[in-house]
Amino acid sequence: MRAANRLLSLLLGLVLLLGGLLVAVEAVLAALGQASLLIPVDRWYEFLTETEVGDRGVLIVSLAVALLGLILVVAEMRRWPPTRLPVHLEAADGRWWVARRSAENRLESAAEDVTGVVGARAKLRARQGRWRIGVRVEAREGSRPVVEQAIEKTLERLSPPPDSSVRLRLVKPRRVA
Amino acid sequence: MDAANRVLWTIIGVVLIAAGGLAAAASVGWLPGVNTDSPLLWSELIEQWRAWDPWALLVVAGVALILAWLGWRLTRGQLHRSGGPAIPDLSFDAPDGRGRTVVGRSTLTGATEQDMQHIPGVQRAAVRLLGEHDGPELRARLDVGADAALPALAPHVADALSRFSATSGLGPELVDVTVKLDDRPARRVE
Repeated sequence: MRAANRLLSLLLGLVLLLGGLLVAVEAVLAALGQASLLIPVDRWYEFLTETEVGDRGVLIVSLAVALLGLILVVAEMRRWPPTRLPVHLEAADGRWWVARRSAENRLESAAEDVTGVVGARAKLRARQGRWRIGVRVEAREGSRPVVEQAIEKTLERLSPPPDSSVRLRLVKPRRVA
Repeated sequence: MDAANRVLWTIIGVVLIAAGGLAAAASVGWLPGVNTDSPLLWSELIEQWRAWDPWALLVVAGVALILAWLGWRLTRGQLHRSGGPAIPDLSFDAPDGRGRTVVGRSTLTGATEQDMQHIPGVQRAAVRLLGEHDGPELRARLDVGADAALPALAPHVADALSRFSATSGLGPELVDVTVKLDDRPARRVE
């Protein structure tokens, strides 16, 4: 979402920059009584003076604009996962972080390294300086201690803050036809 | 930048909802004072526009230029890296006053990156120096192997930072290290 926002803002910036310059030039040309360069002013004038407020097209475009606005607001108001999580290291200078997605991948790989475990999904979030770790795997219940051990071992390497919580969920493996 | 973008697009979303909602209400005749049979550009507006000619066009040109300037600022902001301005180059005057030695910041960051890349487990290091000489901020991004252990990494990074301080004479006031683990860990061959 952050990358999408940045791309959208970049596009908006370019549209404003180029569109603004074009409109400024066209407006000055029109004020001097010169013909327009790129904007088909006559066609636009004709369209806007012939299209009525109650036209179906106006209603559809208005609703689409409102819907687009609603989608934007909902997407922006949602809680976004953090890009990095704080790390707790005794012998470290400064603040240390680990890239969230890479840590999730590491936990997933560690769980899947256990025999009989497939489809691991890890979800890391930070709340009040602590991690909330959720791992879901497809495995038999008997594998739980080994998977827990694999996760614990990986977390020792990642150094989450103390009191971080781990929630491991095992679901029945799907049968392969 | 991310927070600013989020605020910007939330505001744009609210404006689009308001504009689209009002236009839809006008289109179905729910907005008092708006006739659904009238054109989008109604005659009174056109007459008023012509009465203001050519000033209305010049105002449009002025507003368009302001929008273009805002667009430029927005574009530049997206292309700029966040975190503030980079540290200026280091400059040392010769004791006898004849000459000056300049050490570019890219030389400092490049040397620190190379130093950090020699740490076991580190595949790639990217270092940035921000702020002023009397309290710079050092930001490091370390790409490490999937099996790297962060507690083992920290003392090596501390050593690299000590060497950086000893060489450059700069003592970073703030150190910010982000570690990215290799997405594809080395699998056991069975």
